[in-house]
Amino acid sequence: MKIHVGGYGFQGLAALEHISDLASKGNIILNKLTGYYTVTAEALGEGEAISRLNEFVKSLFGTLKVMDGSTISSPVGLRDKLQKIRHCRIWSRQNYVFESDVRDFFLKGVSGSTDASSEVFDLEERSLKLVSGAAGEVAASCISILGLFPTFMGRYVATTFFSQIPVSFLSDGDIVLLNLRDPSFGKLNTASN
Amino acid sequence: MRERGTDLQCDACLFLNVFGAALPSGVYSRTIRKHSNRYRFSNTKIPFVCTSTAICSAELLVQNEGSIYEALRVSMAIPGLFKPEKKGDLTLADGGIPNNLPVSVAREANSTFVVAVDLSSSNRVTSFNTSNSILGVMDEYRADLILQREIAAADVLISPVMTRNIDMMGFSSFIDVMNESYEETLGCDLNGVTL
Repeated sequence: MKIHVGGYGFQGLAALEHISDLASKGNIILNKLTGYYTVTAEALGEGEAISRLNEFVKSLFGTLKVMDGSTISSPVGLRDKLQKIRHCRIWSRQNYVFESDVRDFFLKGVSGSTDASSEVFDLEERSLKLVSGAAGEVAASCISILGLFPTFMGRYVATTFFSQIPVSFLSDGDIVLLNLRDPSFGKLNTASN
Repeated sequence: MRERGTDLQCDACLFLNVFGAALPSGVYSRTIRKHSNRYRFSNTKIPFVCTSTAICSAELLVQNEGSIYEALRVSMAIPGLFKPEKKGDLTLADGGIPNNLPVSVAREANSTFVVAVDLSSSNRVTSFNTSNSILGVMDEYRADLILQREIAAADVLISPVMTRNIDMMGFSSFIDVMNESYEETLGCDLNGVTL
């Protein structure tokens, strides 16, 4: 039996409370921040994982907010608009905002092996895959979110913009932790939304 | 040349993040209304249905009654090009978003023989250099999964060679493409069925 957990940016963090219970029930398939937390907690302990997650969100908040834009309920001010324009410019010229050394900083000390896998999209083969085994690689692939960091190993991106919740390898009897976003809360003012 | 292409991409990205649509849907709506406003679905000799997408639920909706003009206006609301249309509590857009070849819709409409015409391009995004191009690769993969499922459900597939090599916006060659595709379609094997 497999357990599928993650997706929807900050909303995926709602799953954290259930991770340790779920991990004992089968092979866990993760992505994004939930995956990063789970693998880091396994390698370095829950306290360190929470601390790193806080640091991650705090340091990258501006970019993550633009990426998660459709759920921001507060009025969009000039500063937010300028932030969006800056990101449009970056994303039209390159596929990341932060260099890989920033990603590596958040992975420091994450080593050993893990039973968890991360769901990724392989750009070379145009297919979905699971990254498993080395904890550092699984954690790195989880946060290799398109537009945030460079592609992992030059070819993999997290399935953020494909399936959000990592259910591509779903089979009968699996558990899926649903954290579906209600799109009716999003704004539809722009074509991008 | 690359710089210019990149600038265009950037401009498009900015535009999509600031405005609701690139084209004024009113102009196109008036043209369609002029030619189709008096027709209703019940007027067609061959049963006609078209699809739209409920934006908030990503649900594929089938339009098969009432005004054809109203249905077409919603069905052509391609995100980015035209603004979505409000209909009651729903915000509706192009039905091609979740499914560009709705064979399953034809099946559910009790069709006895389904001829699917696949006009998707075989041109593929080949660069992973920008976030926008990677999004394109992932969207192609998603659309292909759905396309293959729909093609499998058709009795006959017509996939004109000419259309495989043009992009969605390749309007300059559309007369040639239509003529050649017509000739090619006439030569298709319809499994012995005469249309």
